[in-house]
Amino acid sequence: MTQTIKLKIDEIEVSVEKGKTILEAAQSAGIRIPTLCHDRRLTPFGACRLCVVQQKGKSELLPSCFTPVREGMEIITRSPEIFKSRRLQLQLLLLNHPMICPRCEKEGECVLQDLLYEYGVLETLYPWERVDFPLDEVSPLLQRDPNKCILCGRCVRICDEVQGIGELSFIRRGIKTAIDTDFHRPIRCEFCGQCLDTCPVGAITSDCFDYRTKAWELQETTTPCPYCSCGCLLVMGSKEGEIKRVFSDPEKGPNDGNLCVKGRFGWDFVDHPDRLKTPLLRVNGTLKETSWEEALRFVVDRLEKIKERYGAETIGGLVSNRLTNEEYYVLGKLFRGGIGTELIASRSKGTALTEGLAKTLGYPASTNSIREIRKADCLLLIGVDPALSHPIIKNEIHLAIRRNRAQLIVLGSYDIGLSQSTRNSPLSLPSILLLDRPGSEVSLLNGMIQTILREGLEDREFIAERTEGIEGLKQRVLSHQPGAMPEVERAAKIYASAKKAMILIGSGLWSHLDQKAVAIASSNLALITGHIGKESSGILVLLEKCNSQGALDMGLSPEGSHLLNRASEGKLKAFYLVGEDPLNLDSEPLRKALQGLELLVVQDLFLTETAKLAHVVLPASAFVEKEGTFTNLERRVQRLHPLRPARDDSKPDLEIFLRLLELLECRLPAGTPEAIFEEIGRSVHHYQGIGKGEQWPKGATYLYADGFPLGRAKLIPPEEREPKRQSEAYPFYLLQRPSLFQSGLLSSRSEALKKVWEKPSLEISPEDAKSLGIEDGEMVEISNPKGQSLRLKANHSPRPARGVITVPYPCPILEDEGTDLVRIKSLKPACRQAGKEEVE
Amino acid sequence: MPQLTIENLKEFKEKISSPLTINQAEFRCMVCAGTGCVSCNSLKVRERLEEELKARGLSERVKVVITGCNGFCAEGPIMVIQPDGTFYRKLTPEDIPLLIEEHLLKGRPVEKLLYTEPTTKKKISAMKEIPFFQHQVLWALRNRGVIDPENIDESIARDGYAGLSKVLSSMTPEEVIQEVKLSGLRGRGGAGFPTGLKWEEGRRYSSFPKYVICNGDEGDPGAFMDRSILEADPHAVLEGMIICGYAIDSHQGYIYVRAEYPLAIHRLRIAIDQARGYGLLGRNILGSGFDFDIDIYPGAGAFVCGESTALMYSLEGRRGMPRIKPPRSTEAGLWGQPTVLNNVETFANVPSIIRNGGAWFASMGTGGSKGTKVFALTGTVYNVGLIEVPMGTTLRKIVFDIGGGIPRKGEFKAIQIGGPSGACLPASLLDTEVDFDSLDEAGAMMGSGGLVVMDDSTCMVDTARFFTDFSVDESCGKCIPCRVGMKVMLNILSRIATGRGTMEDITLLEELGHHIKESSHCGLGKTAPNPVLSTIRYFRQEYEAHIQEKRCPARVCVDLIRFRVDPDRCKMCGLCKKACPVEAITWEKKTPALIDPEKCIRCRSCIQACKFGAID
Ligand SMILES: Cc1cc2nc3c(=O)[nH]c(=O)nc-3n(C[C@H](O)[C@H](O)[C@H](O)COP(=O)(O)O)c2cc1C
Ligand code: SF4
Ligand code: SF4
Ligand code: SF4
Ligand code: FES
Repeated sequence: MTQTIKLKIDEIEVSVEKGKTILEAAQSAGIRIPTLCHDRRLTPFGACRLCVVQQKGKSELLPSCFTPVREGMEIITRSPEIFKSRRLQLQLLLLNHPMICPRCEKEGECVLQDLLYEYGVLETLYPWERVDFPLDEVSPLLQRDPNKCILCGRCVRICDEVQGIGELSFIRRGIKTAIDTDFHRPIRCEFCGQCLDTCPVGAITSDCFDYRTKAWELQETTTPCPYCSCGCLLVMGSKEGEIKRVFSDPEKGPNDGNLCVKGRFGWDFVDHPDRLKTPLLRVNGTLKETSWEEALRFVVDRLEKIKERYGAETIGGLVSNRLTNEEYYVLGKLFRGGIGTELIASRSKGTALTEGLAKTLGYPASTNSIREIRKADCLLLIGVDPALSHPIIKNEIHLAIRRNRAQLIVLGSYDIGLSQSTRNSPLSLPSILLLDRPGSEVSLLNGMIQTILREGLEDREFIAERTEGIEGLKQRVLSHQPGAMPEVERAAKIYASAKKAMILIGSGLWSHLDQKAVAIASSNLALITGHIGKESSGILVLLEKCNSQGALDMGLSPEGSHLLNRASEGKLKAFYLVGEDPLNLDSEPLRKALQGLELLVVQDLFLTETAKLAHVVLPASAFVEKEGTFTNLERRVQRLHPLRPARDDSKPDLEIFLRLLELLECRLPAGTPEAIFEEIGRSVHHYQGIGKGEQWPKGATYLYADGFPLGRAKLIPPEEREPKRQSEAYPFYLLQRPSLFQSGLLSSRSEALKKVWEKPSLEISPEDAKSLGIEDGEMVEISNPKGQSLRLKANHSPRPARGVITVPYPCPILEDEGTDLVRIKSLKPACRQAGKEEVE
Repeated sequence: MPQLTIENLKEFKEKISSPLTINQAEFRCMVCAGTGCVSCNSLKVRERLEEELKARGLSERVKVVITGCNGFCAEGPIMVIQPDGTFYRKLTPEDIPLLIEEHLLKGRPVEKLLYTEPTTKKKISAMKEIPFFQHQVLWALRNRGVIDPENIDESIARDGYAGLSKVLSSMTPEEVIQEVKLSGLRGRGGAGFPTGLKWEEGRRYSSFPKYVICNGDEGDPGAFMDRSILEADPHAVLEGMIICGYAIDSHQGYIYVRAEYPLAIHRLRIAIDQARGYGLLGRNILGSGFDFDIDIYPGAGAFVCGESTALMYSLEGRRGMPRIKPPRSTEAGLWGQPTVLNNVETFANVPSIIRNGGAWFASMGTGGSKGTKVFALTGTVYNVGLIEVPMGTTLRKIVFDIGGGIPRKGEFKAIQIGGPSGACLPASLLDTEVDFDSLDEAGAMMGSGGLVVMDDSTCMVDTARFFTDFSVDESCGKCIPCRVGMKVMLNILSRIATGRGTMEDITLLEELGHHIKESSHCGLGKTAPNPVLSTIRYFRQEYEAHIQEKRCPARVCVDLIRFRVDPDRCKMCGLCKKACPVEAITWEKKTPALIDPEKCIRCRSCIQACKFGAID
């Protein structure tokens, strides 16, 4: 039970939870207290002392940002002493502050400037000689002017406490104290820009912003991020329809005011000069500009002809996971109703995972919310590296480790960087690594389940009351002999005895051999220990794109890869691609097949490789020009707010689909996104009655609190398949590591992100490297049985399991998903390889 | 190596005590090897002594013992010969043959190596009769100069670890805390927080592990109390820490020692090894089942790292920067766990308190401050060194009786107490008793125990500037007033000291000073304005002289000094003209010299050159 404390602030009665600070109490009552060093996400620092208040009748000045409330306190936030103290603080700050406000990016929203104005601080009698600090003008994306810095420490703290990076720190002492990187080197970090976002003054700026627009000229639009499935809310500042910058919404959304590099800086693709401006139609072999009417007519005519001649099942559509729910809904109508085919799919990664969960638990979705991660005390990560693929989730995990000393268990074939964050304190439990060949995940999970059942660590009551199938599971798991690693047992015991344990699975660093089985095994594990249906206990599926969940929810088939195979085999006559560029990784058979189509329609922002082959190219609008909703991985349905109308002659995908339906003379659903959303609410059961920004169903932050929709959750013994065996000729598993700065079509068109792209390099365990005689940093060639090969630098790394090598996304010789067996060849000259001196 | 237990510790003590008494050896030569004496070659003295003794076949009859700091550093290298207690000072290796012949063989004190009382010029041979020692009461330093700190047996022979044995055999943790509370012991690291209360807090939180930290950072310039204790009696500190561990249910201690104290670290290492070897540290201490171990952590070198929370950050490998409270360290300190941190001297007092009882300790000192306190006495007094006196001793007694008064016919002007951010108290306050509360009342503070005596040649504005300069550089940079405000104060002081000040500056200083004290986070900022505020309070007229008359009464502030030749005293010899490096002096035969104030750089060469004292 949380205790409430009653106090008075400026004569207003306030009651708050025990342990809250005076500042929090005041804010809850709508009383403003000025602050500079406070950021509610961070541990209070107490440096600026602008937040001082007094107790009635006492002269002492209390810093409200870290003084806890006490029963019966009578606080005053305004008095001559308080004002005098604040004024003096500001006066002192001003002494070394360069007064170049008119030239400062922050003018107009600078907290310091506002306070100076409010407190009427101008100049002082104090003698002062300016101390000059060197600027950082060379770092990519972020630049710093320590002369403007007021040393509130917010950047240092957010980078350390929330990001877990620690790129910036306080250096030197006394009046020379500054914030800097080690030895003033250029910044080399995640480039999340959190430091920039939290800086109350203009000491950190970005070369992505234009230095011409003043804060008051910006129109601010809040809309969900178009990248990963975390669904962070972006506050986009724009002027006359041009985006100038992105900050985060400190209060709303799943991201707690945090953003990653893609959300913060990766938006410039929307204004990329290569964006398609008008529809294109192939005339005599070349793509020519045309009108919408003509282009769409052409599409409809061809579709009708093909349908008549070959049947509707020769028409297929492949859609990206970045469309809105409304678009998927209407697209479904277009294909199923209008054309009469079921062949409309997306290549969603990781949806087999949600399918697995649907089978055992009921809903094809994550059970809990992102913000619950920080309160868990045990986190099992299966084949994911959130630091690279879902940075906001990485922040949460980091907080759990830092503030909660959560135990991290990493299961997969590759040790992720996060496992090092437990090194922060000797009391943090060292991460447990369960690493094996790709494809061993189910076996490892079964090993954990076996330990739990054997040792009687299961939650019997939960199993008895809320699940079915325990006997079958027991039989299967207890009889099977996983080569019980002692680490597996340790992990099992810790997971089982944790108070709040979460499992994170997703597409990423693992084999994808059997996603469904992994999901079922995870769900078994969570169910037998009762780690489900509670806050901070459950399973999160780290889906790939901003609306992967919505695509699923709207009934889009995730079997896009099958569809592509069908196309390659020449079974399709017409193919409609929306936001997809399968020729991005080049594949000759597919290219040939696409060239042989009778109709290839590509709807995109850019003239992609695939679009170049199309009969019709339709320019789609970017996310900042659209309405609709995205559903993030925690089932949160968030509205897109356009900041400008469609660019040039592009159209929102929704409008295009509606128009096609119309041309096909089908019954039209409602016309506006809002009306369509209402229709979705009526026809998709769990979308019923969800308000803006809420999670389905009915705003539930976590699922299954009151039981399972299936009555009882199912324990299903998962199939354990023997992973692909290495061969003499191809002895290595090749895995693709996600890349923080590059995740697909959008990021590759962002000039900002390009500035920080990493050089691709191969990671190989030092043991494997040694056995092959490959030195650290040496060039190698990897090749697969298909004869494709790739040359790149090989780095020794303790991360990959033995027999596993990794290359960053995008890997040109690897299918989008999965793993491949490869061999590695050193490119050293033979004489050196033999250990002889190199002769020049 | 014997494994000591609660049962056999006493027996062991009796056994080892006997060979240490002079029954076995006729003489024990206690050579001081504190940092002070070592730096003036005391180890060479010892070497020579041992060689000479060996050469004369006296090694059996005469034992040479290396001790921690004797305290009377001004007289180093020091050697005390037991059992007669003769005090020899300023020894050189060359003095040794004579000393052996005369004192050890013939039983005659060597007159020229004895201490001379500066005022009466009397030679005093017995250490205990030297006024410097006469007025001291040694508890924290009870073993200084008496034992070899590198030999645990000598410590045990003087009741080392007897307190621990008592605690482990017959006291509950609560009783230990009760005893410490009863003693009235307050932290010796500066703030004077009641130690018993701190331990009680540390015990109350039941999150494990818990930690005990000994603060040996001692960053105050000129202070060396903690260093001396660690060098002279490391086992007392270890014992105090183990007892604290037992009281709060902790099993791990850390000693954070200034990295510039290599000797202290060396001796601590030896002490820890020896204690572990005897089963006094580590697993199952004295067979009681209680585990406690201690590790040493050399400090990061910043003054502010002595502040308890900054120290813990530094121990964690982070930048030493004070953090906000709550939570207090007793709730969430090192690595977020309950931690009791005490100063070296605080821990060193604990064994005696346990052995003799809290009431015994409380019988010394004043109402609010019990026991004794160690001070580093420096500045313009005859007897510079380390002293321990009961709380409540007056400043006058310290300066004049122990310190021997002001040399060179100077006059006492002020005493600066409490380290770089302490206050300067004037002669009128010489009867102030040194205890936490009286000092507080006088606008001063105990600090860690630095005492700097100043005579009338000291300028108070300059003194304030000196200490302010230290704080300006040492501020960790977190708080605006400490970081910027202190620098402003320094700038204003410079303005005054160079004759550019206005009367308003005094108000500015006072106003800023109070703001800095009020709005800074840690003890550094909260006390840094003290030197300025106290000198304004007690020596305001000096500030006014600098501002209104552009005059530095003590003739220290270079910019305000005007050298002048007194024509009446000038014998027209022209020596001053020759001495002046910048040709600021004009002189013709048979006319008095004249100094051009524009050219004069105030180097004082002429003053020194003038044989007739005609220039001032
Ligand atoms: C700037 C600063 C420096 C300090 N330096 C020391 C130090 O060197 N040694 C010490 O024992 N305490 C030092 N202290 C005091 C400690 O913060 C702490 O109060 C003390 O060590 C607690 O131990 P005690 O209760 O035994 O005195 C310092 C405090 C401040 C604010
Ligand atoms: S961009 Fe992010 S990771 Fe880089 S310094 Fe700033 S907060 Fe740290
Ligand atoms: S750069 Fe900005 S956020 Fe960082 S300490 Fe300076 S003012 Fe604060
Ligand atoms: S008072 Fe000074 S030293 Fe202490 S925390 Fe503040 S800035 Fe740092
Ligand atoms: S906001 Fe409270 S000290 Fe800065």
